[in-house]
Amino acid sequence: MAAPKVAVVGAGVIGLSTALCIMETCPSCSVTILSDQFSPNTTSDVAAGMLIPHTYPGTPIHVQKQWFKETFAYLFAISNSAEASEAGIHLVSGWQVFKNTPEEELPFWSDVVLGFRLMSEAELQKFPQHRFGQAFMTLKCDCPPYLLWLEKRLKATGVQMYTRKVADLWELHSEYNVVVNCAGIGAQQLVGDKKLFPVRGQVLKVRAPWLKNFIRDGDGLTYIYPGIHRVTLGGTREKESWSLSPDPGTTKDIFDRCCSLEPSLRGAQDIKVKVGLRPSRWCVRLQREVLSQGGLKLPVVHNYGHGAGGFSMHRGTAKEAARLVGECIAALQGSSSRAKL
Amino acid sequence: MRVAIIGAGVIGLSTALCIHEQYHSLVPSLEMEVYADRYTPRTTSDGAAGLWQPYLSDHGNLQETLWNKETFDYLLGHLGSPAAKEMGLFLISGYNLFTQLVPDPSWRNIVLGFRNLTPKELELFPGYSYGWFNTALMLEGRSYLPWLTNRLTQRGVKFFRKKVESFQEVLAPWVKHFIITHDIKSGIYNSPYVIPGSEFTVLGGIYQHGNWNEENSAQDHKTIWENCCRLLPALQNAKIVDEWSGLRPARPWVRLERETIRHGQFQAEVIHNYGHGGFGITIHWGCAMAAARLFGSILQEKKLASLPQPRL
Repeated sequence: MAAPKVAVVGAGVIGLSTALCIMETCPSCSVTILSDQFSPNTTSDVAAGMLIPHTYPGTPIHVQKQWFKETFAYLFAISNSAEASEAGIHLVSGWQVFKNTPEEELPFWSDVVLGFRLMSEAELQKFPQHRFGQAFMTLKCDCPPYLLWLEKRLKATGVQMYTRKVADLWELHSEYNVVVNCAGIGAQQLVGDKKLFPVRGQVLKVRAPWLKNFIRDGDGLTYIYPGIHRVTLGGTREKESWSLSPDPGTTKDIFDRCCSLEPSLRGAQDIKVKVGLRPSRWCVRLQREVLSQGGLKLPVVHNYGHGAGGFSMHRGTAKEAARLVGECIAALQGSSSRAKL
Repeated sequence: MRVAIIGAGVIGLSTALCIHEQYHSLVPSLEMEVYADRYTPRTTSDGAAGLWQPYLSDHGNLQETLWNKETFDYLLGHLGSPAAKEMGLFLISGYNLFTQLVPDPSWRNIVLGFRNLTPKELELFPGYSYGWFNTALMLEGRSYLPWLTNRLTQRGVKFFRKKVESFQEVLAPWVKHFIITHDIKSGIYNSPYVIPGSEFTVLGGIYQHGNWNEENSAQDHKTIWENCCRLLPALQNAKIVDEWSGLRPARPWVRLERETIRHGQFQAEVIHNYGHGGFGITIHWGCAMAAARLFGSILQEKKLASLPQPRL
């Protein structure tokens, strides 16, 4: 096969990073990204982009750890280079605090982030309602900058990008050899995956440049993540809610919860409200599938359902997806050479 | 009773506030006046990045370590208050980097979460083999001095108008940690440092003993910029917006003591509170409190001298 034609559906952090990994492993491939939304209008643009993993109940822990390690190492190298500011990648340290001591004091990722340790009594005094805490340093991917940087690198390798709403993967059969499904929450409609469900998240993005440390409540509902220009305040986890409209009552609630963790936020300026639907699933769907219909075959690689852990796992899952694309291409080449006999 | 404060940097203004807060109700006739040739934003304190961090070693000067701790605890107590933002006060974490093993500093238990750097973190800083990470405080002079001035003005204190540190200020809002490198041979702050503030990031690393020149030097500019970019490659895209040179008032130790000066028949009590070098912000409140205690002892002596005679 001369130049295998690969279509990647979806242009969030998963779609873009998967396309980049495919180009890295298969430079002869012709990769095209198709998505109804591009940055700054993807789910990824709403996310704070913090590398703090979400645990998937259905994926083995050692696999999740590997994905996180690869993602962390990749971004760590960028953060320490001249490209850091353009890519929006920076180190940030802070605290995860718990009102009640958690069952698991050492999460699986504690030796991947930097300087992980339990908080001292003196440090916990800053959080009078919390009794236990972890201090560590991790990475943050600011969006849109990170997505725009990925798009720039993709264009430099010759990848084409088109705004197009793909309603059915079979639409792509005649133009592409392999389709990669990175549609995020869109996969529910696109491939009819009923195991995929939205978890609605509302966040505030405010100006508070004196905040240099992140603070996260271990319940995952209240968090303060300083980015390059804005601080992301969160949040909510509303299962099965599809509403993309900001709710004013929720805005006030988020602001109040964050101010009780960090009183200086009362002076925050210029509050913007955003909503995203986390594409949640019991486990990330990362697998090959060959669709068949009336004698036609369409190799598909699925890479969606990252829920609250998209940024934390993106590079690791993108590399695995690229590997699966390689397998699809090899299988096609194998069968096409067999056909010549 | 007239009290003159000479100097309107962090030391002058905080000493003024400390004395006024503690004694104005005890001395109804207290009139306080501040005299200085420079006010914010043109004082040495305005040029300081504002990071709370003493020198590496206290050279056995326990008194200064106690003043540092008093200052840190005082500021930490104000962190959660509504005034914090106006004061320019916030938490910041960061690194101290060394090319050799060094003993822990006197302030390791004053700051929060002091620990050694892990090997993985040291990978970020080639050429440095050892280091510390801790959370400390920033107190930005350009906010704190106006805040102190406002508090003093509200209290009726009057102000009257009648001396190197070099740095560059850049826009690098992606830098969230301070990084201070140390070269034991070349001495404190002669090695690059990066300190992110609320608006700008300060790049520095010049400590020239005996140099009274407040003009920016092109050579020092180059030294600072190249060294800081080597330390933190992510800085290369930062935009330089300002440059400044200031004179740290260095002394082997802080001069904080009383002196009675006589000029003919005229006699005045003087409290000296100067010589805070590169740690003025770090030590200011402890020194202000000590100066206020000296003031109290002067009051006590004067009261004894001017007690009204009992009526017989």
